Amino acid sequence: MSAAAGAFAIATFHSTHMVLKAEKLLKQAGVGEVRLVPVPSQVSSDCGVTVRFAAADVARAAGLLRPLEDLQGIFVESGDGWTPYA
Amino acid sequence: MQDPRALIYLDNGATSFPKPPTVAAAMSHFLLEVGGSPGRSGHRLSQEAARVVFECREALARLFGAADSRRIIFTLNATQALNTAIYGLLKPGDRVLTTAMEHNSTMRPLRDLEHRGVISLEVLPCDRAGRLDLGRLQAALATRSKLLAAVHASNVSGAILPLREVGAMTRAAGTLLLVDAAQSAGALPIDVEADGIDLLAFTGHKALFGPQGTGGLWARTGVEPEPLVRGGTGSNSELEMQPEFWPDRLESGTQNAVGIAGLLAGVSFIAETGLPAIQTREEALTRRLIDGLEGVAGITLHGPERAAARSPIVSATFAGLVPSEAGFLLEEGFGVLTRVGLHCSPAAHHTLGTYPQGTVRFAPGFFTSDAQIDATIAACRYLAAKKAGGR
Repeated sequence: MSAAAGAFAIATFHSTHMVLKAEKLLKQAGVGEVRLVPVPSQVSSDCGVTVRFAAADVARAAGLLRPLEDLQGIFVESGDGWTPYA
Repeated sequence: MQDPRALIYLDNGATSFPKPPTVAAAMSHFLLEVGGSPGRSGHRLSQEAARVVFECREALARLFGAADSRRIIFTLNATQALNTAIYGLLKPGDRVLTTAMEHNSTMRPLRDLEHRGVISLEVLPCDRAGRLDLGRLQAALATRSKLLAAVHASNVSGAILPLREVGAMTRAAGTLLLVDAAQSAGALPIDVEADGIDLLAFTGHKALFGPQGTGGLWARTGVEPEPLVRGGTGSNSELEMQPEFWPDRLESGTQNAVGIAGLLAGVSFIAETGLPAIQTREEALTRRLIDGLEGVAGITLHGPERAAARSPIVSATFAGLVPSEAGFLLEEGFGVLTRVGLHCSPAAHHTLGTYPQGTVRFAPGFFTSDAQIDATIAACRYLAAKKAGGR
């Protein structure tokens, strides 16, 4: 579970439904290390889940996820926090 | 209790039985192995529960030709879905159209709004078989109307609404089309896009083979009913206002995930078997029943003629036997389970001319056998002959 800083990225959505849609999409596209995790508290006070994946694949994942309407944001792990992915 | 397998269950119009064995297996698996609350907590069991709900939404969207599964919200049943559509959309002054074949799940909310002076309501006539008069619909649509609420397949006569034709008419008139698919979802082809549907209300426990306590509503993007219930959604928890996005907007409170697990198995069964195969089988059973009962002295069939399209429902009356007595004798003497009376649809029985006593309704299902239909025919003929000959 614990990984080196910069190992992961996450994408957050309003609804659990879209998180699951994104999970499916990323897995089908072969993006690395896709799994659902609780939304990091630094990113949102939401009680839901978010989809986490390998930061190495963030550019490709962003291309897949940005067309989805309900995307809130994509963040890359940095130190002990999460930085918005531009 | 008697072994249900020894009975002839012809009450699939009320709820389908038996279900495919995978339905109970999926529910058992959910309760024993999954068990989490969908979309609430981040842990794996909650995630797995959310996945079940997600996959069921996707499977239903495929079945109904809906491009965006977020627009399907789960409800307890078709009644709750219809109430959400009707109370959530209609505003003071709206003119609403409906048909003389509606179930009370549509008629009562509409009559309530009419009675309270919120809407004006026009009930469009149907013929004696329960088929909507499309000429009268066209004429009614000439006056600006917010909504047409219409049942796809009658739970009393088996008459089928020509969806595509009606959808083209309402679309041209700028009227929203709300379809009550309680009997038809899973039994008849439905394509929300091609059929021009704006809102589709369905139940899970009839032709979709799910358990009771499941159902849903699909609404086209831009058709946004106000929620009847507001509360926790597991999303936007920092906000004290209900979220606007779907499906959360209309799904407050913990969902019936165990039921939805069963519904997913039911919908998967339909996808694997093929809806056309199910429809063909049920049509054959219905025709076999009609062939065996038509023309028998003392038995009157109500509904469309033999060759016409219909859902697997046959309504009958027996000369000299009220429906409740006929139903009782069919069960007591022959183990044939039917539903008698008004079927929660007084309007439909007025249309068919069978009000107030109603009919005996035979509703075979995909798992009904030819032998069971033949035994039912023999039982009905026996009852009719016995009544004709005196007791």
